[in-house]
Amino acid sequence: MEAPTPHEVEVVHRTLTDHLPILQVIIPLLAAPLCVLLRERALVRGMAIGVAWTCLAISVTLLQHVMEHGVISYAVGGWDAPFGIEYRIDLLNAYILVVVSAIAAVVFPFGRGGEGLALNPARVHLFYAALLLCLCGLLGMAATGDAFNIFVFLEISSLASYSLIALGRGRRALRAAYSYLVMGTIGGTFFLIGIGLLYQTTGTLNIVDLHDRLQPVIGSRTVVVAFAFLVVGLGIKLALFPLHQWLPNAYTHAPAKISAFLAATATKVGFYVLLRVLFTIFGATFVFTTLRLHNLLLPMSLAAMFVGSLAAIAQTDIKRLLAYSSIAQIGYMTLGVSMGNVDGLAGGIVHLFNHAMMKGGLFLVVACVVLRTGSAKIDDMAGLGRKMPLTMAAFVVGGLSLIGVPATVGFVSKWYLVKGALERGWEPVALLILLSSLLAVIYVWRVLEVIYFRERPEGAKEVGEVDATMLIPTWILIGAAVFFGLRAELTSQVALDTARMLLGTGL
Amino acid sequence: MIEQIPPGLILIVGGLLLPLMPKEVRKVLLVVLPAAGLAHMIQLPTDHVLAYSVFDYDLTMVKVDKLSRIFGIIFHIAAFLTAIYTLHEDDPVQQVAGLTYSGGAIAAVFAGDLITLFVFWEATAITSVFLIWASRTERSYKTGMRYLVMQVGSGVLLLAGAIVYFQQTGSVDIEPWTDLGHHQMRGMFAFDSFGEASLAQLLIFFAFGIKAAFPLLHNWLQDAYPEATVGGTVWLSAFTTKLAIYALCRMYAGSDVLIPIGATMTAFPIFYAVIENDLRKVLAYSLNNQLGYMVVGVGIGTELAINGTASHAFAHILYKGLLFMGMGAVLYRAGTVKGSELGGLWRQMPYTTVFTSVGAAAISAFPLFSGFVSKSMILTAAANEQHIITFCILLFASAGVFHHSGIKIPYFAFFAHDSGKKVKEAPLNMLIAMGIAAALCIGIGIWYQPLYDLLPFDMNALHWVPYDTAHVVTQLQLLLYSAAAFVFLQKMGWYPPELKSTNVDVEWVYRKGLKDVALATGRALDVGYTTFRDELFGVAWGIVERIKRWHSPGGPLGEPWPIGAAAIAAAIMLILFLALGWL
Amino acid sequence: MSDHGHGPPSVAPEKVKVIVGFLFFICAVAVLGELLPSFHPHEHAGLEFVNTFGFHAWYGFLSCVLLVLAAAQMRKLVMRDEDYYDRD
Repeated sequence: MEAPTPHEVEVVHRTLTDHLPILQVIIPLLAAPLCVLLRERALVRGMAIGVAWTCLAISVTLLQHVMEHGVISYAVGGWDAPFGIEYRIDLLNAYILVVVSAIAAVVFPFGRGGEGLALNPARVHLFYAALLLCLCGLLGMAATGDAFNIFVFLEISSLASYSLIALGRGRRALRAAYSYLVMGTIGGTFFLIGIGLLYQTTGTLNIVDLHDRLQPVIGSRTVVVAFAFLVVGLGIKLALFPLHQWLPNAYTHAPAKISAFLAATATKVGFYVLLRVLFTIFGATFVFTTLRLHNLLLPMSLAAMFVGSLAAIAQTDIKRLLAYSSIAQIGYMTLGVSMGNVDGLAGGIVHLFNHAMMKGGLFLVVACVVLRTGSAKIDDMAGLGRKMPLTMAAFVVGGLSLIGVPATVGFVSKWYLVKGALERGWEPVALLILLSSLLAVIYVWRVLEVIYFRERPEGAKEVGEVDATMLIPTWILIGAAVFFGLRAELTSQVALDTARMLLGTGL
Repeated sequence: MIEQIPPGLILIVGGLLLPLMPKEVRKVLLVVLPAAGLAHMIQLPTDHVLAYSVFDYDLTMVKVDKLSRIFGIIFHIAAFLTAIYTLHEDDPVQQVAGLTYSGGAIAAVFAGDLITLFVFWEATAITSVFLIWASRTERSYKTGMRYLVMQVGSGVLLLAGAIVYFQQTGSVDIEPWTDLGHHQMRGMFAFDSFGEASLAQLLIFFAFGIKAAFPLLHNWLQDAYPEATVGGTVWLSAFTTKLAIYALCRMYAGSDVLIPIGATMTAFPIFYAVIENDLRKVLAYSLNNQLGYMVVGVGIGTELAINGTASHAFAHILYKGLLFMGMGAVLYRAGTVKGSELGGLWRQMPYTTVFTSVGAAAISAFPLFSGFVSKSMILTAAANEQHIITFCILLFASAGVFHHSGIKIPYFAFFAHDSGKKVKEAPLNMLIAMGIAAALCIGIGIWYQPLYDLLPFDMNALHWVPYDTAHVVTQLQLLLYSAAAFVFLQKMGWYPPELKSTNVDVEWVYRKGLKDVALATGRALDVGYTTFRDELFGVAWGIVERIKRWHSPGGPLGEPWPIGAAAIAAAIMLILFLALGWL
Repeated sequence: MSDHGHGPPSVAPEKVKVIVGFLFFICAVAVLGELLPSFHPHEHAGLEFVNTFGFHAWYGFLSCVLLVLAAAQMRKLVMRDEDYYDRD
């Protein structure tokens, strides 16, 4: 590394605010081993929640800063890019950071400590350590501007989530975690191979720098191979059909609180990295004009929407139903990407946020149900409408949002997706979006029917409403799904700006 | 802050909250909300605008000007009077429907763009149908469905027109009139012949035409209004059609095609009114005829004609409401409004008789009653612009109005032959509502200046005086000789008796003709269908079963694959993505 | 007075005679009103015939007679039983 020039030395003396991009990642990273040291349940839990809220505060500050002043570039250790590691916060990842940390801030306090997790009380601190590491990994992936650094954080978050999933009950959770581990490792390896090929070609790992240095050699075989490895590797991470195989079991057998956290964040960050790779590293021109990615991504997205929704209809386990629904929803996001225009891409990006809220909220509802009835079978939810009215009302609202009823966030996403499809001249796709919403009507209705129109069977376990520690986080997410459905401009404006920025970089 | 509340919202929100209130509070609110709404609306300054945006589109929730103001005022008054009139009955369905319906109509009047107008246009359709269904009979249910289809259809045409217009111009704003000079106004969508009209103009024209009950599109009105509840018909009579007149006036003023349409509207319904037995249906035909005058006024489109339309709508809502109230009171007490079953009620219902007669005088445009100071403006405007045939038809219709609304309604209900029915006078709240309406009918006829001050154009500048000798004398001649004709016809025994009957109107097409055709087609299809059904079902069911099996737990797509298969999928995808670069 | 009806006339025939007599009287007055010095008919091109003496009187009378007679004839065409639409 070069010796710092006087100019760069100046940069090193910065205020605390300037360090926010790295603090965001460092705080949960340091808090995780602290958990192991402290061991005390209440203390550990309080710290985890505190960390989550601190991260939220930081990410909101960052987003505001980016919206007002533009991109923040932070050189770790004072070594400037492309030699050092750069943390680069633009509109897109500022937005992702807010989503991830907000979900963490809401989900972490859910329930009292290990309640409902069936954890050995003596190991609660390990649970929180893993949770914080996972958060650290996700935030790091989003914050860093260095491709290899992304891989490192990807592995941190993945390893943490394997162990979190393995916390679920029974051997099946272990098996699910194991197969996720195998698939995740394949995905991670593919990603690493892709980065390696790019490094070999360009000699840099910095994302922005990669883009510039790739332009002269953009059509070469090596670059195309790198592209394929990167996209497929990420496809596994974000559970893009048909690479989604790990997801249903993982979400089904993980503790519901973990499912809520992972469903709302992990695949979203995967989607974010995909956007980075497609638009920032390779650029829209290469992706859509040279490679014509939409020829492959569009059928995959449509297949995801329909297979996911149809499979959701057929499920008997509510967590598995939501998991398959997630696969369909990821299909909506990649569908937006495949359109390659501002409205479609904005639809995908806004759906990232919207789906995080509604699916997070719905999984929390399921967590409440599992805690009370001890079962995630749809049939065992019979008659809960009267027993747990507030929780079930949250399910109704979340379900309506999944369908895409106006005044919910689901409608906003579909509005932009349909708009993008029409703009692209893909009328049949617009029709298919609406058609797949009908499938969502069916799988949501199936559950609602059981909840409200079926009597609670004789001799069933007596159940009551859950307490405020669970209701409040649930309703924050569900309420947000309505709030941002009504005030759509708050999120859609960021998404539109982001989409313009992403499409602009490649042109 | 208070300016941020759109007019009509108080009634809509208040109406929706009503079911949560206890009975007594509901009754108080029913009357207080329209009054509060009026107080709020009145203080909004002219030129007040309230904009909002949905997604990326800028829309205008409220735009106040003199035309929207006068319709807003009379809609509030109508809601207030109807609320009083329905106080004796505690039916939350009607209370909610009445308030939200009137609130929707008021909000529609102040809409500054076509999309906002469409939203409230449909809102009036959906809320008002409950006033028909509130009769809670099989018959009213079917009528309500027919009504709903027509009303929603009108909204769909409006939306379609708005979309087409938006594609052409990139705007959905409702534009003000163009002043062509010589006191002639022209609305944004005005056209003179169907040949020159664009698609958007036509779509919106027919959307308004349905609600304004243009000839051949009119029959929902006579079908629905007699089937609503006692109070429901009074609610209905005030808003829907006048909202359409308002919309026509704003966007189609000066359209020549409206003049023959309006003239036809004044004339043909009165033939039906003469032979109709159900007195509320007579009033529905008569309402149709009154709308004709307003449509002619809109079509002429001069300042005097537009003032005439606005003032006639104002006066008309009051006296037509009063007449429906009177017949409603008769229905409420006697259990029927069939002319053939009534008669001689004046002894038992003296106040109702007097109030109804005031309404009859007002609709007939007797001097000193409200119809006189408004209708003559439209006739004069027609004469000024030398629409000679139209003028003669309007004059004929004026005589006819007196004949069926002025004479027939009170005569067969309250006089004629004693029906032998023993009934009580109408409840106090009905009498109060009718009393206020009757007082307004007379008050406007005498002290017309406050009404004229509300009109869109300055009346002083138009040199218009309602009461000059020529106007009064000729109008009296027309009316009195019509009365003489009634006496003459009765004496000769030529007057058609009131008979229990149904008179076939345009609705025959869809209630009988199309139904018969549909039934016959259905039978034919049924035969063909059954032969193919089993085959068809067999195949379709097979596909559904297969999809189900594949996606169910245990099926290839409903269950995660083994890790090996998943890894192979990843490899295949890798190859596919690599292929992208080579193809 | 008319050929329909079930009970006796609700207004005594003598009173009806007085009312009708009064009606004829004011009918005559209304026509004579055209002779008032303040009677200035409004002139409209093409509508001169409207201002001929007693025009509104006979026009109103004839209109109503024709209206009722035409409507009575129309019944032959359009009148059906009360339950016409309810039958299948």
